[in-house]
Amino acid sequence: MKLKNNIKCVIIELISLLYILLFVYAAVSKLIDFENFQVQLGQSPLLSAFAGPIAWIVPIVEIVISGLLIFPKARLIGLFGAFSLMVMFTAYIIIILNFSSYIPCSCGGILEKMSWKTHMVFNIIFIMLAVAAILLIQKNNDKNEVL
Amino acid sequence: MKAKKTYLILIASTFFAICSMVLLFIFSEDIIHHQNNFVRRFPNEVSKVHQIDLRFNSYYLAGTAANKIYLGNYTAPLLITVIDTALNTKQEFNADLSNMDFPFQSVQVRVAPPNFYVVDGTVPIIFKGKIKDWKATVKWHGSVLFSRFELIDSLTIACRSIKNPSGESVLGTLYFGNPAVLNLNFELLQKQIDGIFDVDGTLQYDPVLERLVYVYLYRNQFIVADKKLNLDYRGKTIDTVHRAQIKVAYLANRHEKKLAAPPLIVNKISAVYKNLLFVNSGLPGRYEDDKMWKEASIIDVYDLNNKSYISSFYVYDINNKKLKSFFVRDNHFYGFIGQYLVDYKFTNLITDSYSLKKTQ
Repeated sequence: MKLKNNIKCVIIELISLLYILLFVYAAVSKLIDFENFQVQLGQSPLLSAFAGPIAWIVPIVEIVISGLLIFPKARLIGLFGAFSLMVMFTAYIIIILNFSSYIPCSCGGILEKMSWKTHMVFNIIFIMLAVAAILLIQKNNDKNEVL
Repeated sequence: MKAKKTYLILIASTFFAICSMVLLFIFSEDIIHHQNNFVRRFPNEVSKVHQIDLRFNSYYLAGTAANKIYLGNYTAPLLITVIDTALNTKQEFNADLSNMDFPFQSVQVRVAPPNFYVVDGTVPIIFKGKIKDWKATVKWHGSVLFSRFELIDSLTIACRSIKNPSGESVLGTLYFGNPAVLNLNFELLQKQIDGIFDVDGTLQYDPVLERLVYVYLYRNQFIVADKKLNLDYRGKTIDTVHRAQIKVAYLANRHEKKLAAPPLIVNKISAVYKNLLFVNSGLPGRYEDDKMWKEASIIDVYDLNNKSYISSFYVYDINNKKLKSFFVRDNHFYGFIGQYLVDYKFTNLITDSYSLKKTQ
């Protein structure tokens, strides 16, 4: 029982770590080349009207979520936040690919080199990881309550 | 934390995330839709005659002669395809260059029998050869860079070059005989915002009228000049956008200039034949059906001699692909749509407007 519990904890921590890695990398690479990121957002058919504020909000939210994921007590909130953010990113890709009149470039360091379709698969995998971690934490909490 | 609560929160988050993106999308569709203060006339004077499947969407017009159409290809730059004007037969040839040792980036061919030309304004270099054997040798290799060019005669091209040191665009002519002569007219292109993006447009030359026509991409104006770059007049297209609606950003750390927002494209592409200017417009006018806008491209026709707008017609999309470029010969309109070349025939209304009378 204890082993199973340990494995669950390890998985939760691993997933959180992966997310921290992803979001910190994405946020920092946006902030380093900030002017360019703002321009790229401006070119997006969905976001150009809001490029100014969104250019700041996205990296800051990514860093805040990473912060929440570090502390076990705040992890659940962090994972819900990460989940929501990934769903938003994925919805953005789906809308751009299917409903907009043209397709702008993608942005964010290494991720820039991925094609839109690859990016979508990547996002869906991360969404599933977040859901898995959330469910694992919830199961653990349930167990603790029963005890 | 109960399981039910977790699932509820997950579902609510998903819903909120998707809704916010959809809302953003709906708000910004507005940027693309601009209703303008102009009305078009559609007296229904074209009918589709024929189309040919070229199997690739990378063809462009290289020249015409007698009853032949010569096509170049962006992805196979030395491939020259010859089609008859009824779009029935197709022949392919490969151009042979005497020297391939150049940093080619943007190669285009032009055919004006008995000669053909292979031109790259980024090198810059011009090869010339005869179409009887499709072999070309270097005719001119200089230092003046240009984008957009059209043949004026067998040794001259009109082109869009760049000013030193600002990098802004300027129209000019290049005589590439020996010795080569470059003429630039700095007054033709008028800067509104940055001098590069805002003056973008398409360059055309008509040998019958002997006029150069440059149609701005982002404003409702076109320039008519003679072979010596003397300004004839500045014409106006029927829409109302007289100032380029673009946003240009300069990124100092990357030494790059970029468009910082989707631009409003007013005149997409144009073609000139005799005294008529055909413009594929990017703007819907008043009282026009939105549905048509999604299923077809619109061409506005102007008379360059009496500076008037004649009428408009629709060119239908094929398999959801829009008209990419086009040209006109006699009473036929040829358009590149996806991988097809279509042939529309004009009725009298347009051909009657043909006139060889030049502007005085």
